[in-house]
Amino acid sequence: MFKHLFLMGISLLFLTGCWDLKEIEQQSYIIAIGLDKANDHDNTLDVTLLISNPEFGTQQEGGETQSPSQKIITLRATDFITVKNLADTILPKTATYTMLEHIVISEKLAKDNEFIRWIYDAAKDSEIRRDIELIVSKDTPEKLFRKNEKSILEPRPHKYWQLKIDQSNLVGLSPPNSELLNYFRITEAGSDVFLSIYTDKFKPSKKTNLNGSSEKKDNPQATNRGSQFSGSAVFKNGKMVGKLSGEETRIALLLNNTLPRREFISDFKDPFNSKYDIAVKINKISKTKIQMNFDEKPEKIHIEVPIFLEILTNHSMTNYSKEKNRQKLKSYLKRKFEKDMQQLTKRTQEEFKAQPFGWSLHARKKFLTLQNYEQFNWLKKYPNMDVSFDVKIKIGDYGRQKSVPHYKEIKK
Amino acid sequence: MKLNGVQVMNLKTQGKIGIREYTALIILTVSPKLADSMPVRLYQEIGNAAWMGSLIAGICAMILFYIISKIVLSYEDKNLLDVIEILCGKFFGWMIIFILWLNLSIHTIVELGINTDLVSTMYYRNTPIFIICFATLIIVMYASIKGIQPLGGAAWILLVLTQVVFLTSLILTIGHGETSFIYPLFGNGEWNAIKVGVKNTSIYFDFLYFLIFTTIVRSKKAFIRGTWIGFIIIVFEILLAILAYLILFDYKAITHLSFPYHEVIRYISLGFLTNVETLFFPFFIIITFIRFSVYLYLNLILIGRLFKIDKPRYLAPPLATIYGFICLIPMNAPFVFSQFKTQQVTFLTIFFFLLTVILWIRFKSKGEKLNV
Repeated sequence: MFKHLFLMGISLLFLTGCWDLKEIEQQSYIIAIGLDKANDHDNTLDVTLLISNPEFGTQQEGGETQSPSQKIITLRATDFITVKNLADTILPKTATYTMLEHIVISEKLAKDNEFIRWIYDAAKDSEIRRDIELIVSKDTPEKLFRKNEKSILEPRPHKYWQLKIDQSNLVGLSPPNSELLNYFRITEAGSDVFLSIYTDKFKPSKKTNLNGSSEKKDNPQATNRGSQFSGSAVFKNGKMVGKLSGEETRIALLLNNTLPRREFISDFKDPFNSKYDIAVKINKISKTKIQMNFDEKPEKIHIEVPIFLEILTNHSMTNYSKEKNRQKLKSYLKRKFEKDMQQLTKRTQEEFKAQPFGWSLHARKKFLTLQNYEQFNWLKKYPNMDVSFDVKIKIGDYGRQKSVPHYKEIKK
Repeated sequence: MKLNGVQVMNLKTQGKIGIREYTALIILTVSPKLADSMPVRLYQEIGNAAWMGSLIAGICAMILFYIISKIVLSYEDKNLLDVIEILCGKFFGWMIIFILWLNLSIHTIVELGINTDLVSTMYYRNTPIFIICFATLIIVMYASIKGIQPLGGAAWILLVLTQVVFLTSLILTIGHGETSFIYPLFGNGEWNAIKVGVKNTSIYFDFLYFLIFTTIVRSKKAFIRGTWIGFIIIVFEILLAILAYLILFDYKAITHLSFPYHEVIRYISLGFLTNVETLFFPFFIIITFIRFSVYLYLNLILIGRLFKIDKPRYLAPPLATIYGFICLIPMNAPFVFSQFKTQQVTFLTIFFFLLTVILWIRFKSKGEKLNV
């Protein structure tokens, strides 16, 4: 017995993997990298490293440490692999990508024809995982990192970025599948466009509402200079070709079966009194039904979207207990949705000439072999296809209190 | 007398393994194929019908194995090698066994090379490949010197744990994926799928060698039952793995990967646990040890048989060393081995078919009767 224990103990020594041993405290963990085109050089990148300070926030004897939560450095290099060694000349600890979670790309680089050459380095390095999120930023990555450096709500960078992205994913304003895996997959399959998270500075613009129904509203948060995660960058064949607004991203989410379903709140002009808006909670209850007919020319696609709505506000103080009013609201919203979807589809057909809805996957079911499918050439056919929509609306709920008194009842 | 009887029984079962150990051993030997470059090869040839190809290969191999096992098991207390000598005569029998040994040696060397390349590119970047290769070989050597009983026992202990880990990772992968990637159903054409499937019958080539174990497994019944249970589990597992990779990566992206299983475990996460590859890798490496131990053990049996060596296990260290050095020769391992593999696969399949046919013809012409 003792002999066995001894042998087991000895054999544990072999498990350390001597050559690849790296002490935890001798590494600097890069949480996010930012890639930007260097201004005056070709084929050179400005790589910004966001390095987490593991000591931050730990309780020590003399209370909490006062050290900053992160370090941001920008280096010029030919790619983001060599930058690790370059960083080692500056940092006292070995730079490692094992904790890398986000890759931020400046819009300028993403729109570059050669972008794909750089991003494929991520498939070569063994430390970079495929679930890393791609973020396209209007600002330069360094500016973006600096802006978000000192957050009161969550100062630790590895948590901060994850929470921030999750948050805008949850409300459907950012595409949820903005991962390296999907970028490679869609780029290589070549028949769809890839949607990536897009970030811009917070704009106190005229159109603050997400459905763009009303014109001018003052924004109380105009002083907030943070960055906003809303909308998505559209990548076709690995290159950014345009962007979708937050509202359009939500519609893309409603139409796409491969993306997870989300619940979100949006507002529409009130059909009973155009001065006011109604807030609506939108929930896609089941998968979008897609019917395709490739026998006719142009090819036809019919999309059926089942949507479950909850009416959250009632400023026109309409009496919804009347069947007639409910029907009016329903048909109004149906038309509104169908119009929005039609508009977005048209835009993708004309501007991108490809779609972010994952419909090509459905088209694949129509073919028995890959040759037939590739001969059909989905990407070329899509811009001329005839797409029709049928939104099946169910209004399930009118809020906690189902009716409000009529306006005139109170203001006599 | 009774005491004597017990002793005789003991002598009879000495050095033999039961159905549990045997089944565990074959599952652990063949199932790691799902984690190497085999799936990628299938995807490159037949697109997203690769899962169909693997199934066809499985069925083909089952048919061939069924025929050969019927022939071999018709003889009492004889294994594949004895039967080959009985049916084909001394000289031709020796030749066939020699080819069997050569195939297995090359297979062992290539697989060892691929495995070394895998471990060094995916996990231990800084460790010299020489060390990786020989660390594996030392363990493998030790295990195969110990013989089939300890190996079987180790396999049985590890079976449940490793299979649970494999299945967990595959099921998690399917959860992340998109099922409509399996369309268009027939990939590069249904005939192509069948053709490539048949060509890749040699994925399950190892089962031919398991017929050497007929005299080592405790009873004939246990051998038959154990092999079929193992066979079905392995075919199912490889099918599941290939489907899981397709569902996650889609048919184009997967053709560029080197080791899809290791990419997969770098992608998935277990709830709040990320970087689960560090959790799955040890199990993979342990299975690898068992697998190469079985290969080396079989090699030793074949050598002992060929050159009439009484205790071939003492040849384990030199043989392992030779294998190790040969597998380290190619400089561009990822390319060399994958190119070699595509040719070897076809050759092994042809050999598998031919051997079945030859044995069957000899068996019939000798006027023997199936006795199972």
